[in-house]
Amino acid sequence: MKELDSTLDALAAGAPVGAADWNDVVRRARRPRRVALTVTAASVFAASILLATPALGIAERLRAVFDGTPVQQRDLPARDLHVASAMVHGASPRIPDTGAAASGFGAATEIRELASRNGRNYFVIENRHGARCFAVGPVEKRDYVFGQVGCQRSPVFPSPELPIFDFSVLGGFDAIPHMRRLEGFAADGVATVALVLEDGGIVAETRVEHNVYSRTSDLPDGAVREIVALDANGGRIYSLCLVRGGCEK
Amino acid sequence: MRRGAEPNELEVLYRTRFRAFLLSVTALLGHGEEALDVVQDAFARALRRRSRFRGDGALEAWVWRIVLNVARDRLRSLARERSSHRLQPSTGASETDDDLRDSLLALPERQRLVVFLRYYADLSYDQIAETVGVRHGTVAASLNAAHARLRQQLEEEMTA
Repeated sequence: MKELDSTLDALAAGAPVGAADWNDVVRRARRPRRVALTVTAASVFAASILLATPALGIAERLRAVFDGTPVQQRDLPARDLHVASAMVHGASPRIPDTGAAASGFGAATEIRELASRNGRNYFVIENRHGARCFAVGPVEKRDYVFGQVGCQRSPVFPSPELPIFDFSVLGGFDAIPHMRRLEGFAADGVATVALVLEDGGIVAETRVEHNVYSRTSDLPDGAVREIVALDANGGRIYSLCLVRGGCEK
Repeated sequence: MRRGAEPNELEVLYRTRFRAFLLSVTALLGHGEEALDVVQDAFARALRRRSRFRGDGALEAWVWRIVLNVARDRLRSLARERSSHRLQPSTGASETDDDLRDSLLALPERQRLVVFLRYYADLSYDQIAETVGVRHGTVAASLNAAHARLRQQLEEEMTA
């Protein structure tokens, strides 16, 4: 069954076979004993709490115009373009991959690169009706550009209800996870994004630039309770609780 | 009977079999970056728990079980994602390949696992049996059933 062989080859085509790194294994083994789990913080543990968007005009600033460098659709793998276009139009990315152009979505989709940081590219994907999705992917050349695409429509991002759209990668199967990679998108009024530890300490404060926050080093080994968005004065605008069951005791 | 595995044994296994682990997990998850993270985490877990290796079977089978458990956990967490969608790698596969891929992914978990371990990791029937925790005959039966099912799918496509 040659077809089976070629299909099996295709299924594993995206494997980064040159990325073996035993030292990374050793580093991970030294971390607290937790079972691995990767999630987007915006999903599994997303019991978000809007703390304060008070009468200081901050609410108005928690929006954004996402300027960036246009990405030519011809530079994208067909599958990436298909999925991004389908999602920003509210269609299922699993519809038959006949190509974004054939579906009519491609021509109505604009993709811009907002930033490139820590080996990651950050994109906004928009359609002509103003709907937005966001994507993150590795700078390193692979056969895909978008490692992850997310669309947040209720509450919409960016808005006072949702000033950050988090794409962080968490580890830990315990009730409280630890942080592997802190990254995501932020509204204009968000100056920094930081992590709150179990003891309430705030660490890994990360500046928002071009509406993107990204940190891959100096992350705490221990459990992380929340991701918080801070304004220019260090005031807490928003909190994303990472604790299964919620952060309120 | 020996107890525990040495770190250098795990390192040798990692260096010699990394590709097999990574390809199998990529096929299971449909995403190379996630698969890499799973393999790294699984070996880290094996390193931490090496004293639990009882030595009553092959070290590789023991590590495979850890890798597959971590991959299952990851699959569950990915399935819970609400608004984000993780991309499968671009493959350039034809429509027929897409159908066959769907059929492969729709196989019962054990059959799918057996196919992947046989194809990507080139494990023997005995090694697969030890890894999956079934008898030798069950491995053969699972492979036959998987092939029959996929052959039927192909024939249906040809005649459609």
